[in-house]
Amino acid sequence: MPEHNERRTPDVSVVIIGYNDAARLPTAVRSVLDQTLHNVEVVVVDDHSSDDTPKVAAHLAAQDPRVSYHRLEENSGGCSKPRNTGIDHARGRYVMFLDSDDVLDRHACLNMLQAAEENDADLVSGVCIRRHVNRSGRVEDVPWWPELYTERRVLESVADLPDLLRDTLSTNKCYRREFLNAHRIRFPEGFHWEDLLFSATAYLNARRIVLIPNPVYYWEVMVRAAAKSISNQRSNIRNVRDRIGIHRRVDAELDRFPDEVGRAEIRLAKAVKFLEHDLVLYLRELPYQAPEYIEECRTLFRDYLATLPLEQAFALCPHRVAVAGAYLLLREDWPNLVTISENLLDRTRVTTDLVERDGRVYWCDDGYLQDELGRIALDVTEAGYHQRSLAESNLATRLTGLEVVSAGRKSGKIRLSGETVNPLGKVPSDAALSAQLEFRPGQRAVRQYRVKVAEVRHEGSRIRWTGEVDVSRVVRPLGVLDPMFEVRFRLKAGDLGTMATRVTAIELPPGAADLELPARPLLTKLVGDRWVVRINHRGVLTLQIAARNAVARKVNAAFEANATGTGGGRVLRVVRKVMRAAQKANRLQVKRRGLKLFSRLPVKRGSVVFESHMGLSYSDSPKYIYEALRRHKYAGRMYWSYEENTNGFPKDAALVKRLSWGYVWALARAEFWVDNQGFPRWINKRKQTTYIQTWHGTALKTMGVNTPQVRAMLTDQRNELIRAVNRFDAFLVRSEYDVRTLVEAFEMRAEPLRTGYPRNDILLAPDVAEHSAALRARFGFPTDRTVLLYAPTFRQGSGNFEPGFSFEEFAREFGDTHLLLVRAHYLNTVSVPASARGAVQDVSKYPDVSELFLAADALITDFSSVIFDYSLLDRPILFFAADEAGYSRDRGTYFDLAAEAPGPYTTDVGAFFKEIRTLTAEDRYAEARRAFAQRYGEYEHGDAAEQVYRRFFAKGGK
Amino acid sequence: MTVSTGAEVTAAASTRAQTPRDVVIVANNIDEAGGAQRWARSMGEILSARGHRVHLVGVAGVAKAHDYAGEYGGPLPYQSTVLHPRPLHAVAAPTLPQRVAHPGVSVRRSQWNRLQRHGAAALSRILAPLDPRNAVVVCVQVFAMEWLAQADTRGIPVIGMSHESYAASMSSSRGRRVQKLYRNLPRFVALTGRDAVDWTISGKMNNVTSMPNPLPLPPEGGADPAAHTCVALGRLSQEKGYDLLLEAWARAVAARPETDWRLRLYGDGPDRAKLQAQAARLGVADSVVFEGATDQVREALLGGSLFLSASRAEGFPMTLLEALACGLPCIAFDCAPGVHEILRGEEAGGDGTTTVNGVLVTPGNTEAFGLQLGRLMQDEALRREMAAAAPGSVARYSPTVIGERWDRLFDLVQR
Repeated sequence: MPEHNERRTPDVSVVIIGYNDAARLPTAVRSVLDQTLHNVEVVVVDDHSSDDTPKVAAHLAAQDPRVSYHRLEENSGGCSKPRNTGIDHARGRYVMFLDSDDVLDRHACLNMLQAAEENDADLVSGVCIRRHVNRSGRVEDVPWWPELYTERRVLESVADLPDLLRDTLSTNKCYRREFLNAHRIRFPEGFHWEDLLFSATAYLNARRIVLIPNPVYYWEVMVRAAAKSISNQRSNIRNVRDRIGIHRRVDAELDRFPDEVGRAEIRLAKAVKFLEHDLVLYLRELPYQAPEYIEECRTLFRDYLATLPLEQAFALCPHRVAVAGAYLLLREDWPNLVTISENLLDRTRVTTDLVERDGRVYWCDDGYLQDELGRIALDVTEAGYHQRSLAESNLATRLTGLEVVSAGRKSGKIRLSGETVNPLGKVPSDAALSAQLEFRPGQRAVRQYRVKVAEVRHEGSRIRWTGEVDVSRVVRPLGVLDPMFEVRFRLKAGDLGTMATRVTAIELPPGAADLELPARPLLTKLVGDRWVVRINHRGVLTLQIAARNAVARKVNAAFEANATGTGGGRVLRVVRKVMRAAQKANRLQVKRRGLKLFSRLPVKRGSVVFESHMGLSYSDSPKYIYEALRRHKYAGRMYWSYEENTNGFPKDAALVKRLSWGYVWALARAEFWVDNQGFPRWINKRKQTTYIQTWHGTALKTMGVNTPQVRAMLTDQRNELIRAVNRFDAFLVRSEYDVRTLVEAFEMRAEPLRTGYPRNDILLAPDVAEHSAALRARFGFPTDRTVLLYAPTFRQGSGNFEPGFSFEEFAREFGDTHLLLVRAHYLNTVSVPASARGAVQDVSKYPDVSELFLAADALITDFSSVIFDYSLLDRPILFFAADEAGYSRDRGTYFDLAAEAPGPYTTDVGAFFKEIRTLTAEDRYAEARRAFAQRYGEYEHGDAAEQVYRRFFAKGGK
Repeated sequence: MTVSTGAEVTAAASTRAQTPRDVVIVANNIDEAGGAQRWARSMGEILSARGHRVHLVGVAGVAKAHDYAGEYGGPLPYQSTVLHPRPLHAVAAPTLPQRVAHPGVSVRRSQWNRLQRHGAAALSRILAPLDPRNAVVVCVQVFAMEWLAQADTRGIPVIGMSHESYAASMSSSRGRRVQKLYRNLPRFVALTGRDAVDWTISGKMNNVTSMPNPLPLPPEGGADPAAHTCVALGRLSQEKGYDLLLEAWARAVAARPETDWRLRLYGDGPDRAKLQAQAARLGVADSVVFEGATDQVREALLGGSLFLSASRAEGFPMTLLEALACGLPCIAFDCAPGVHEILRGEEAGGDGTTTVNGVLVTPGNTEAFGLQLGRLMQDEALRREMAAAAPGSVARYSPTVIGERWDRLFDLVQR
C-alpha cells in the first residue's frame, strides 16, 4: 500500500459523526480506511459522548494518520453541529458524510471521485441502500429512490431533473468542498430534518450534478430497535414544526434560483413530492395522536399548503388520496380527513362511501364538487377502487362495540359489533349476507381461527354486524412467536364472492382497554396467560398476549431481549438458523438437485401434472382434458400447478404451487405431464414420463427455430431451447398447417396428435345454442343487445394496453345496442373508463376464453390467434388493426392476414365503427369463414379431449 | 497509397504520459490473432509510445503464433513473457459424486492446481521488482485473473477487464467468475457505458467504469466504394454468424442475378467446410470467396467497399473499427452495446437503423440484412457518403485519446 504523506491533500474527506456509539464507530471508520481509494481522510466528530467514544476514536486516530478526531464542547443533540464542525476541519477536495452506525461501500469514494473529476461536477449522488434485518434474521437491501439512479446522468443543474428533490438524504452524496464553502452551505443547527435543507440547498446551487447507479451508502435500519432515532419520532410536535419550517426555508432558497422557468418546474415538483410524501407521512398517523397535537399539526400543514401552487400540484400528483387529503385539510373537514388517514395506512382499503358523477369517482361530495379545485382534488377514479370485484375489494370495517358477555377461569366470551362501508353499492341490498370473524397472527400465518357472525345486515349506506366469540377457547396461540393476533372480517355476499379485511378502530370503546381474558397458549401458561385488546400501529384491532405470572414474564423478557438484538439469545439464534436453512432450501439450484434425486424414484403410476399458462389459471385445453378424466372417473392422482393463488382451481385435484418443492416432487414422479406452454426449461423429463403438449393456439406469427430471435442465439442457448422442446412426446394439432408451422418449425421429435384442441370441444358440441344462452344468462348479459368480444393480441412493452379507439366513443355510439367485452392478452391489462362501463366490460380476468366465445355474437380482433378457434363457431369476425405497420415490423406472419381475413378488415376507426353496425345483420363473409375454419381446423371434430383420454389414459390409473 | 507500419502509427499519434509507469498486461494468451490479443498488442504499443514500461504476459502459449513483430515492422517496444509455453486445458473442480466415481479427476485437478501455483509464482517474480506506487496491472480476461489472484501483487493496483458485452458474459460461466474475481479490484473496465451500467445494476458490480478499444489503424480511409466487394473478417465459428451472413448474401444476390459483387471472407475456423457447403447449396459458391486467414488485415479491407458483420455475440469489435478506419461502410447485427456505439446508433435499434457510417439490423433477421445489403450495393452515392464519414466517426478512438484515458485511469487507481 502506498505511504501517505500527511501534507498531501486528501481527495475525499469523510465526516463521521457519532454520539454514544463507541461500539460501532470502528466499523464505520474501517469502511472508509478500506476504500479502494487510498487518499482519503476520516474526520471523526463526537457530539460530546458520555461513553467510550473519546478513547476509541483517539485509538483509531493513533493507528492511522488519515484519521482525525474532534470532540464538541457540549452535546448538540442533533446531526447539524457535528457535521458542520466536520466540514470546517476537512482538508479534502471533496466531502462526504457518514453516521457512526452506517458504512460506505468499499468502492464509494473512488466512484464518487471518478464521476466528479470526469465531469467537473460540484455534486455527485449515488444510491443509498437501506439495510433491514427481517424477522428471520436475513439482511434485506432496499435501495432509496432507485428510479432516479437507473443510469449515469450528468445534469447541468437540478432544473434538468426537478424530481431529484425527492432524494432528501445528504449522506449518499459527494460535495466539492470549495463549492460548499463558496455558497456557505451548512446544516441548520437546532432543527430536525437538517438533511432536507442541506441537500436541497446543494441541489439548487450546484453547477453540475452527476447521478451514478452505484450503491454508495449502507443505512443500517434497525427494524426492532428499542429506541427510534430522531427522524422516526413523528409523535413529537416539534418534529412537525421543524419539518414545515425546513420546507419554508427550502422554498426561500428556491426563490433565489436564477433560472425562472426551472424555478417554477422545481417548485411544482417539490409541491407534488410534499403531497405524496411529507403530507402522507404525518396524515396517516394523525387521528391516533393527542388532541392538542392534532390541532397544531393541522394548522401547520394547512398554512403551509396554502403557499404551494396547489391547482397544478393537485392535477399532477399521482397519489390521488393524498391530494384529496390535502384538500380536506384546507377545508378543515376533520371527519372526512380521518377516512383519508385510514386509507393511507392501507392503500387498498376503501374507507368512505365514494360518489360517482358523470362517470368519475370522487372521495366524497358534501358540496365540494361545486368547486373546480374540489373536483380536481377529490377525483380518485385513477385509484380504480370502483373497478374491483367484491372479492378483490378491501372495504373498511370499523369496530363500534366490544363488551364482555361472560368470563370464567378458562373462558372469556366477548361480543363484537361493527360496520362495513359499502361504496357505490358494491354489496347489493338484495344479496344474501353472511360473515365470519377471523383471528390470525400475521399475513403469512399458517393458523387462523374463524367464527360465524350471528347477525349481519344492510343498514342505510353501511353494513352492520354483531357476533360473539369465546376468545379463550377459540384462539389458541403457540406462545412467544405469535404474541399478536389481528382481528379480521370476512363478508360473503351471495355468489359475488367473499371480501376479507382487517377490523380497525381509531380508539377502543370505553372499558375495552382494561379488559383481560384468560389465554391458553399451546406452550402452556408458562409463556403467557392473559389476552388484552389493543389497536396496533396500523390502526388494526388486535388481541395481544400478556404475561401476568412471574415465570411467563421472565420467559417473555428473555425473548424480547433476543428480538431486539441486545441479549444472548440461544433460542432465537437456533430459530434463525432453521429459517435461514429453509431459505437456502428454496433456491433453484437446490431444487434442481432434488429433481435429479426424485427422478430416480419409481414413477407414480397414473399420476398426471396439469399446468395452464405457466400456472396463471385453470383454463385452456389442460382444463378440458382434466375434466374428461374426471368424467371417466380416472383413478390416478392428478395435480394442478398454480402460480399466484388457488382461486378457481378444482378442489378435487392436488394443488401444487409452481416451482415449490411439491411441484418438483410431483413432476419428477408423474407418469404424465399435460401443459399448454412449457414447464420450466430446467425441469428435465425422465424417459418414463409422457409429456402431452396441448399448445395454446395456432400460429399466425412466425415461430420456431427459423425466427430471428432463435437464429441469433449462441449454440448453448439454442441447445437449451431444443432440449426443452424435445421433452414433448405428443403435440396437439388442429390442421396440417399446425404441423408445418409448429411441429416442423420447432424441429420437434414429438408425435403430432391430429385431434384438434380439447378447449374447442364445447364450440362444436351439439348443444352450442343452449350452452351459449345459458352462459349469457350466467354472465348477466342483456338478451336484447349484440355481444361483441374484443380480443387483441399481445403488445410488447407496456402492461396497460391502448385499444386504438376510444371506449367512451364506442359507448356513445353503441351503448344501447351493443355490449363490448374486452379481453386483453394475459400479459397485458386494460382499463375501462367508468363512463363507458355500461357498454364495455373488462373480461380479461375470466379464465376460460372458450366460454366467452360462446357468449359472444361476434369477435373483434387484430392479429390474435383466437380467430382460428372462433371461426369454428361460424359467427362473424371483424378485424381492426390500428398499428398494423408496427406489428409486422416487430414480427413476421405466416400469411397476409389482410388478404386472407375471413371478415371485414379495417385499420381506421371510422370504417371499424361502420362495420360494427352491419356486422351481424349482413354476413358477407360466411363462405370465406367456413373455408378458413376448414383450412386451419381440419381435425376439429369436438371430441379432442375424448381422443386424448382414449389414447393415453383409458387404461391408466389404479 | 502508402502503408504505414504499426510503429510509425503509434509513435506519430502519441503524446507522452506525465508519469511513466510500469504497466503489466496479463492476458489468456498474447499470440493468437483474436480480438483480445490484438487489443493487448496495440495497447502495448500505445502505452510504450507514451513512455510507460510495458510488459505483456500471456498465461498460456498457443499452437500457432501470429507474427506480431513482423506486423509491427521493427523490434517490439514492450517486453513479453508467456507463463506456460504450451496450450492449457482447464480442469474444473470435481463435485463430490465425481470424486467418488472417478478418482482420476481429483488427481488431474490437483495437477492443474499445482500448475496454476507455478504460473502464479512466475507472475509474482515478474511483479517483484516493481514499485507498487508506480506500477499497474491490467488483467485482460477473467481467466487470467485466476493466476493474478494467486500471485503476490504487493499492493500494485489491478484493473480487471471484460472484452465482451454484459449479456455475452452472463450467458457463460465467465459472468459469475467476473463477479467473484473482480469484485474487490479498484476498477473493472467494461467496453461501453451501457455495459458498465448493466454490470452495475444487473450484475451487482460496484467498481465498473468503461473504456472503448483503441483504433488499431489510422483513420485515413482509402477503400474504394466502387470495388463492388464485400468483406467479412473473423474466425469461421458459430458465434461469428457466417451461416446467417451467407443467407443474407444469397437473398441480396438472388434479387440481382447480374451483379458483379463479390463477398470475401477472411478467416479460418472449425465451420469452414460446413460454410462452403452452405454457400454451394445456396447457389452463391461463385460470388463468395473463402480467402482463409490473413496477416494483411489492412490490405484485405482496402480491397473492399462494404464491411459485413453477422456476429451473434461481440464486445467492442476491432474488425469493425478497422473497417471504418479504412473507409468501409458497415452493416452489422445490433448484437452488443459495443457494435451499437461504434455505428453511433442513437436509439434502441430495429431493422435498418441507418447511421452516418453504416446500418444496424436486428440480430438474426437475415431478411432485413439482405435487404439493407442490397440497398447499399445498389446505391453508390450513399456508399460514398458513408465511406467518407466512416474514418471520422472512429477518430474518437484514436490511440492518443484512448492513451490519455488510460493514463487518467492509472492515476486514479494510484490515489
